[in-house]
Amino acid sequence: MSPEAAKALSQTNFTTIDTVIVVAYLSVSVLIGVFVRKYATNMTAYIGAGRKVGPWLGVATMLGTEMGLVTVMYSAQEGFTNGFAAFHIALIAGFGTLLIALTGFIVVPLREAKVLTIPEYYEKRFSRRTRILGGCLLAFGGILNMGLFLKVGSMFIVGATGLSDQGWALPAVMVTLLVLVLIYTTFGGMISVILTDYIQFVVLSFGVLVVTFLAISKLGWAPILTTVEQLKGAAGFDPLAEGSYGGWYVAMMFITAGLVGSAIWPTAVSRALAMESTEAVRKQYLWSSVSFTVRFMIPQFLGICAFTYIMANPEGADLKPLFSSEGGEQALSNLYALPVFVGRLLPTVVLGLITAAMIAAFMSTHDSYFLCWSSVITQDIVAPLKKNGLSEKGRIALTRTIVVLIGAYVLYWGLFYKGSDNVWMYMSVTGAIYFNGAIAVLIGGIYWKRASSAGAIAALIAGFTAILGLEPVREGLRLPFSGDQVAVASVAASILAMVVFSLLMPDLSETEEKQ
Amino acid sequence: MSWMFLVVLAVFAVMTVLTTYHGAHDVRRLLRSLDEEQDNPDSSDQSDDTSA
Repeated sequence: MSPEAAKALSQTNFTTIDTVIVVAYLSVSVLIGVFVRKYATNMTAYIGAGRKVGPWLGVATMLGTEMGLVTVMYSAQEGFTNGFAAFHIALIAGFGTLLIALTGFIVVPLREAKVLTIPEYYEKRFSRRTRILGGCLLAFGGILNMGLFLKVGSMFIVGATGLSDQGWALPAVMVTLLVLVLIYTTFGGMISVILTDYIQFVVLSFGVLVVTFLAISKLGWAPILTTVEQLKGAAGFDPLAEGSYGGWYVAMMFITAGLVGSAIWPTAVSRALAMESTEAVRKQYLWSSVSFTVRFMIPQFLGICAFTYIMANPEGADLKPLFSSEGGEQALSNLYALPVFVGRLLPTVVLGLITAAMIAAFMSTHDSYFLCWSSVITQDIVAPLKKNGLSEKGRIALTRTIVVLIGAYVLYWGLFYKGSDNVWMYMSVTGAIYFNGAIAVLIGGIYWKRASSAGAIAALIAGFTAILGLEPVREGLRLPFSGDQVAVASVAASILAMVVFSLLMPDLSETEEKQ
Repeated sequence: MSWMFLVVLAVFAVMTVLTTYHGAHDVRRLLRSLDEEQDNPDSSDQSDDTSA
C-alpha cells in the first residue's frame, strides 16, 4: 500500500476512550452468557429459550439477528455501487414480511407444530430420511453462507479504527471477536443469545439512527441526490434501468429478500419457533416488517453517503483515488468505504458507541447462526442417525462442540476464500443451496395434501443445484449463466420436482401401509 | 425518494423506543419464568421431538 493510501486510511477520530467503551460493551455481553448458563439445562431451553419469548423481545431479537454487521457492510456496498436503486431490496423485504405477518404464511403453522428446527418439521410431515437430507443441506448451505461474515465484519472494525493499512489487524480482530462470541454462545445457548440480542438491539438501533442523522447533517440532502444523479444517472435510481441490477436480479430478490429472509431462513424462523404463542409470532412479524426494511435501507443509505463523501465532498478528496476504478483496478475494496467514512464523520465517544453498536450487530448474528446450524446438525442429523438416541446432556455437549468447530471453519474460510462475487451475491447463492429446496418442501408440506416424501427429497436435491451459481463453481464448469439466473432456475426446478414426484410417487396411506 | 426514506426512518425510531421499553418487560418476564421452571421442571414446554 502506498504511503498516501496508508495516510488517508489512518485518519479517524477513534481514540482510547472509544476503545474503553468497546471493551466495556464486549465484557457485558460475555458476562451475560456466563450468567444465564444455569438455565440451559435441556434442549428446549438451550436452542429455543424454553419457548417463553414475549412479542417485543421477539422483535428485538429478530432485528438483532438479522441486522448483522455483515448486513450493514454488504448493504452499504450495494448503496455505494448502485445508489438509490438498491432500495428495491429493502422495500421487497419489508413488504414480504408484512404479508407474512398478515397471513401467518409458513411461520404460524410451523410454530403450531411445536418443532425446534425446520428439518424436524420435515420428519413430522414426510419422513426421517427427508429430515436428515434436509438437515445436511441446511447445515451445508448455512455454514457456507456465513463463511464471509467474520472477515467482512472485521473489515468494518479495522476500517473505522484506522488500522486498514496494518496487515496484522484484520486477522487479530477476527480471532478476538470470534473467541468472545464462542464463549457466550456455548455457555448460554439461545437464552444468552436472546438477552444479548436485546441489548444489541437497543445499542444498534439508536446507533444507526444517530449515524444517519449526522450523515445527513454533514452532507445535506441535495448534494447526496445530485451526486448520485450526476455520477450514476438513471441506474442510480431505477433497478431496471440499463447498467443497474436488471430483471433477473429483481426476480431473485422477490424470492430471497421477500420470502426467504423472513419465512424460510432458519435463523429468522427459529425466532418464531421460540415465541410464546402464534399471536406473538404475528405481532413479532408485523413490527419486523419495519425492521426488515430498515436493516437494508439505512445501511444502503449510509453507503450512498460514503459514496457522496468520497466522490464529491472536498474533505474526502484524498480517498477518491483509492475507491475510484478510473484508469484501472480499484485500489481498495469498496467494503471499506462505509467504515472509513464513519471513522471520519463521527466525533470521539460517539464513534466508540457506534463501533460498539456495530460489534453488537456482528455478535448478535454470529451467535444465532452458530447456534442454529449446530442445533440442526445435532437434532436433525446426528441424533436421528444414532440408534440408541442421545441424552439431553449429550445433545447440549455435542451442540457446544459443533459451535466451536463452525467457528474454526469460519476463521479458515474468512482467511482463505478468494471469490470476487460481491458479498450479497455470495450470500444469496450459498443460502439458495438450502432455501431453494426448502421453499418447495415447506410450502408443499404445509399447504398441499398430496405432497409426498419422494417429492420432498426430489425438491431438496433439485434445490442443491443452486451451488452451480457460486463464482468458483461457475468458472470451473465454464457455465454461461450468472449467479442470479442459476438461482431462479434452481427454484423453478425444485418446485417442479416436488409436484412431479409427489404425483408419480405418492405416500402410502395408513391403511395401505398396514396391508 | 426523500420523503419515503424519512417516513421509514420515523417509523423505525418509534419502533425502537417502543421495543426498548416493552422488551425490557419481556426480558424480566422471561427470566422470572425460567427461574420458576428451574424450581418446578415439570412445567416446561418441552419439544415433542422424541424421535431420536
